[in-house]
Amino acid sequence: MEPAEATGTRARPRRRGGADGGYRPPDLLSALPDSLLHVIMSSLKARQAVQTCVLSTRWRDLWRSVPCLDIDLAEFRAAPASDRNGSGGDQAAHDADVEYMYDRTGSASSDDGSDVEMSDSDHESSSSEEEEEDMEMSGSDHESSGSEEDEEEEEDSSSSEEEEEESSSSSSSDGYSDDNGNDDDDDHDYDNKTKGREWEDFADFTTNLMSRCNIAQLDSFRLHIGRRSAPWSSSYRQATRWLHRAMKYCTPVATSNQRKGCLSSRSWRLRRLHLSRVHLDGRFAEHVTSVCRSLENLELHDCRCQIRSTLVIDGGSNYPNTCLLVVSAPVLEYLHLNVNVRLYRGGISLNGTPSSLSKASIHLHRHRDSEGMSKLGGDQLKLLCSVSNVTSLKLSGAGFLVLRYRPTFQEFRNLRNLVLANCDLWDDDLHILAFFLRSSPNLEKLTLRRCKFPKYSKKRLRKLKRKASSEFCGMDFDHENLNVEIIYKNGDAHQLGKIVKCALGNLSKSCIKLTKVS
Amino acid sequence: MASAGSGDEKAAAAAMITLISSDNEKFEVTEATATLSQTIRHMIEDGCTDGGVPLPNVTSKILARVIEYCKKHATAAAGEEGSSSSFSDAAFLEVDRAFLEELEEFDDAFLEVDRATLFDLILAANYLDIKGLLNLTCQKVADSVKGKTPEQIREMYNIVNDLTPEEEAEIRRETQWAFE
Repeated sequence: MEPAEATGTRARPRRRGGADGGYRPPDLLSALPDSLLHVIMSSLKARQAVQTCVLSTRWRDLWRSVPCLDIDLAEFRAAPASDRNGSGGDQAAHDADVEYMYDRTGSASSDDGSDVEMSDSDHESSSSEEEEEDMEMSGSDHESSGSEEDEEEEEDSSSSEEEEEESSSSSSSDGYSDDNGNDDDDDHDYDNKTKGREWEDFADFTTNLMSRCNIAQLDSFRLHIGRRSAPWSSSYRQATRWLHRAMKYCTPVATSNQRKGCLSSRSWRLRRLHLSRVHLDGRFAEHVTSVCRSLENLELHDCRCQIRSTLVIDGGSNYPNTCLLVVSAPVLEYLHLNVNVRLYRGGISLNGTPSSLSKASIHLHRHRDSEGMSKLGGDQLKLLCSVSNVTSLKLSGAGFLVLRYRPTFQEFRNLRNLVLANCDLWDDDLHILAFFLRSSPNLEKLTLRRCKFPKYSKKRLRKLKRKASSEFCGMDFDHENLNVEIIYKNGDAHQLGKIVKCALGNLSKSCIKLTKVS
Repeated sequence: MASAGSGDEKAAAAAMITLISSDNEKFEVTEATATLSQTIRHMIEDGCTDGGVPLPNVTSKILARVIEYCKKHATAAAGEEGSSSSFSDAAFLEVDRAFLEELEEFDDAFLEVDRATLFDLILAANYLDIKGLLNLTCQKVADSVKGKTPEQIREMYNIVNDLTPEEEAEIRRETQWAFE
């Protein structure tokens, strides 16, 4: 049912106003133009902003085009009752009573097929709630050159969540309907039941709001889920789906004109996005990159990626402001960085050395020629050290300056699988390779995929061999269990094999595999 | 009250602008003060401020308050630009912090006005396009209704409920998700 439709043609007899016949002070607030009422409403939490619709005819539809949405679970906190409307609260207990009374009025079924009377011009887009589910945002439309094996995970999740999303648009209680109407179940303690109810109200509100207000015109969007407030782990995912949904319906024109092919033309005018305690999945970064083109301020507060403990930074930039992007994620398991070095001039840094991190994939576009232009250009020892607990590391796109200051040692104690892809290894002493081999006593598999090697003459090869015995093999551990695969496109593969064998000294020939790709 | 106050000395050399209220009162202010208003800034850039800037939407009473606000905040802006070279960083930060606190106190005191004045200030800030003042005054209104029920807001701001009981019930039904 289209909620915007209302009985606009009906005459509006005055009801309460002037009932006493005496002097009424002027209504200065309602006299303000829409734009100013919107400024005021933007400072309210979303729920209260919507509730202004019953103030008078003037206020009826203002909430639909409010430019800032501040959706906060705290606004739905049931206990103590005095807090349920946010901070206000001096008469809050009374408020709750009044609200309760009014709740009862909404029981009859609605029948609102009559004409629409609307003062605002931007109502076309509220009809975007007519489900246009063909507008799927799957991983396929993002243009980044994401790395091969890492994408399947994201693709999987996007298709499954898409389905979940569809079901959530028809029923707001997906994922936890078992808990509904089951209040007598003693298995759930009271606290969780309260939380569950709060969340249901919150979810119902948010789902409705997101489909009824003008998402496309939003300037600022804040979604805040308090610490320990979400009752089920699926709640966080539900919140993520609201976000995806918003990005789906963010174009001002009715989406029916758009087909899958023109997804890239979509752009959200949103300037500020603040998320707190929302679980972000692989699709998030992708969507922000492709949809939120006007974004000036993205604040992620405590948005751990707990679903798969995966952080994907794919594209994006901190370009105009050269501030440092700090990733603070103590429970991170998988880090995927796929960034253009020149778009992250302020650099990216990982806070601490997450001990949970087991897999990292770091792709640095344009690293080779960006030293001095970006903090991600040049030496990245610090970044590499912050992932030193991984068992699997893929570094791609890096120039040899990635370890410019030639560190001698940093223990990659757990590292078993190392992939260097499209990296420059072309300086004389292969110091990047040397660094990793020296530092990774437990390395089992080394893959050099299409890396650049220096051209060696026989003389230089001998020299390398001599040097290798000191540089590479002067260590207490050996690499007997190491398998090396060299994937190359052109060039003398056997020379590459020799170089690597020289470099590794004690490696038996059978452990080196050469693969040519076209 | 509008002519040279103590905050204007720095900009003594700067050009003065005459603002004319709806009731024909003239206020002379420095350009730095006046250009907190984007509307006036554009007029100055277009060179159409000779002979004074008529502001037919703003009464002298409100304009005086607006100028008071602009003077204070223009000094703040000038302070930020000018002092970084003359103070060491730490001293500068200290001065800066003290100044911000003072500014906050000023804003709080500035908002101690009756409701009619507050709304006139909102409209003037909107007309003159003074972002800081607009945010400040709108925030004050928003704070006053925060956490209030629709009934309380109506009462507070004398909002006449011109919805019929049927209409109101219908709206509440449509937006039940925001009330339950």
